[in-house]
Amino acid sequence: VVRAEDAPPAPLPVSAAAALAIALCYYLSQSAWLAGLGFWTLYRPLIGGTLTGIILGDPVAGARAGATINLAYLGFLATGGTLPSDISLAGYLGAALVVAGGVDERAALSLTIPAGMLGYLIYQARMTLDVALVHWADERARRGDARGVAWCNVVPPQALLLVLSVVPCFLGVYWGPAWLGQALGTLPPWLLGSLEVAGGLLPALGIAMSLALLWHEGNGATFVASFVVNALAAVPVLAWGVLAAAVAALQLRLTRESVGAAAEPASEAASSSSTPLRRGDLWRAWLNWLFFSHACYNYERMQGSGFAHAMVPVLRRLYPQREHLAAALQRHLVYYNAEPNLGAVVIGVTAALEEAHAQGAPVEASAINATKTSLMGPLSGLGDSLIQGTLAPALLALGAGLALQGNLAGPLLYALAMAALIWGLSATLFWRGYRQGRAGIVALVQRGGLQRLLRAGEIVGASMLGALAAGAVRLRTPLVLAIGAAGWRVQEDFLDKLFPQALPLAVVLLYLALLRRRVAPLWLMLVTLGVAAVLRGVGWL
Amino acid sequence: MGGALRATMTEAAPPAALLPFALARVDDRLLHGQVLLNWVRALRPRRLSVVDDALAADPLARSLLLSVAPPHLEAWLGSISEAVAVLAPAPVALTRATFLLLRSPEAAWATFRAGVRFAALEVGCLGHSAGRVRVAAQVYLSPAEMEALWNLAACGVTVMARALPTDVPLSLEEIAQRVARGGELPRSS
Repeated sequence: VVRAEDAPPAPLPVSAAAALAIALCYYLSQSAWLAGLGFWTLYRPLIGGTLTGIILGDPVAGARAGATINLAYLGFLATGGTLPSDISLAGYLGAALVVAGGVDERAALSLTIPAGMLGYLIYQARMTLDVALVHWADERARRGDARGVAWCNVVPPQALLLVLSVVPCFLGVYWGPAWLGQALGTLPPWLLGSLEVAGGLLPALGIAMSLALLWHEGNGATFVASFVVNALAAVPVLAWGVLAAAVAALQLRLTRESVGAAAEPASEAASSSSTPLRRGDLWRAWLNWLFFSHACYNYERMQGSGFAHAMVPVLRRLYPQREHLAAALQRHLVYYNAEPNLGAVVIGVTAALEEAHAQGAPVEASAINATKTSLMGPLSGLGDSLIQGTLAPALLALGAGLALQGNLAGPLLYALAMAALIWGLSATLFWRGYRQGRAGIVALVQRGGLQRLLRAGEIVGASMLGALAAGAVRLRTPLVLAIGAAGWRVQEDFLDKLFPQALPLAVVLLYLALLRRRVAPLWLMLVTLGVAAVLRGVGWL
Repeated sequence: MGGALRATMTEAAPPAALLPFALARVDDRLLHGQVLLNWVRALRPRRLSVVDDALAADPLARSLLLSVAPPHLEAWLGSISEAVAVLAPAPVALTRATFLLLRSPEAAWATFRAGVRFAALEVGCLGHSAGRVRVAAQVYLSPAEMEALWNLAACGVTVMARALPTDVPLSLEEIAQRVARGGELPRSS
């Protein structure tokens, strides 16, 4: 990787096949084909950058670029169908810029900001156009065509997404590195340098955004202590991760008895000896949810058609009569939106309720949707806090920390941990929901196991973010004060003798303070670019 | 059409000082990711007060909601009449630190009339259902719900719509124009 001061290398041409492969990875990152993992793996720049690096022939450079970009977006949250920025497109285009365009990874990070905004337009287009497709599903549900509902949930919206995502990503990867790589070479050095300065600062913003979610109950002290230890001593990232996990495990152990055990509730679901639903039907319902919950995500119903699709194997078994099947399909095509992993519980609970309803138990059809509604909000709150807010950033911090040292085990470890977490939680909770009903789930949440996992995740997160910030936020000042004959170098003569990483720590805490005063993150990104240009221009950075 | 004309003044309580809250938000999922992550991160309230008659009467739903609230927030859930007893006499220092969540515009209007006189109301997420038209990506509203919002505005409440703290809010006039047009595209069939 070449620095601004050196002559820029000639950008490598990207072959059409490689650009297409990268564009397909971008499609897959949002698609329905990766068993619920796409959004948690290929969508993250850490993984996207690694894949881009593999395709373009330099996996380590790709992983490092992906990790750098991912850090800037570490605290971004996609909650309740909103998206602040398309971090996936930013990751693929940014990594291609580094690997093929020979652009410094920090400069590339600054250049991904518009890519993230462009990707947001793609997301909006998809969320809007999919509304029409869910109306096709309505039509098929009215006729009692369960296969048609499933088809409408998957085939047209995924074909649309393929076109919407592959075309812009292909164009960006095919022409972007060569064009931008050359254009950057013609920039004055201070301007290119300012992009690098901003790129060195933006990871601090992502880290501060994650920290803002954790900044309570002593997590702040954990962060600062982790930062200081890692800045002063060269602790391997993995060793620090193991240490943090051990502390979190101890915390889990210590709090185990403090939560009063709620009595195991009687099952709400009908548990008669001859249940019409077979295990295969239920596994298929779970798999449909795991794969296709967001296949036709749209502003009007959100996961409505995904929910109906998940219920198809259950409803087809329970309602042989077409008019009953039609009523049930329509019942589940209404507005629904939940965090999908903890939300798997609702698929299980609903399957049990539909089974009871079909067998003539006193479960009204309207009560089924009322139950779904009462569960979706609180479970989303807990699920988003646990996974998006805490565990994913903690694991990403570990994976990115390793990747920044050129270790490809980083992205791999992250992906494997997320797969185990998501599949494990989703399957366990689905069956629990089916067997114990709503009361069982409420009892489970009340016992506080998930909240203790969240608390332990916060400890790991705060320590990993501290370790990461110490290495990944890069800021040194060449400022020389006119004191004495030789001048007084602020960095070498003062900061390096006291605490070399003082500036990076100050920047993280400054971003945190601004975020806590409700300054918008996207605004902070743009201000960072401007301030970096000015300070670089006057020679302070 | 002006808000003052639309309001049924006989229904409105006599004017009294309005209470500032950290945020009063209408959301038909009440507590979810946007609320617990984006808004709690931005507002840093000390209390989370959920007002909903149906949830207050459902012990399971009630305990589920209270158990997912983060431990560093003081969470409270009650019916409209319980909310009046707790929140109406509360000192301003306390309401300023309170994040108030309400299920629907009608519930917000009923809560306000009963005596919880919040000074501002933000319409957060209201999902699609029959009779509602699309006002924004996350907001679908029915004419009856629009009426409730006008009633609140006539009593001096500042009404806006936005899902996230970083979104640009829609004013009540913009919301009303969109409802009057039959919603923003895409229309629901």
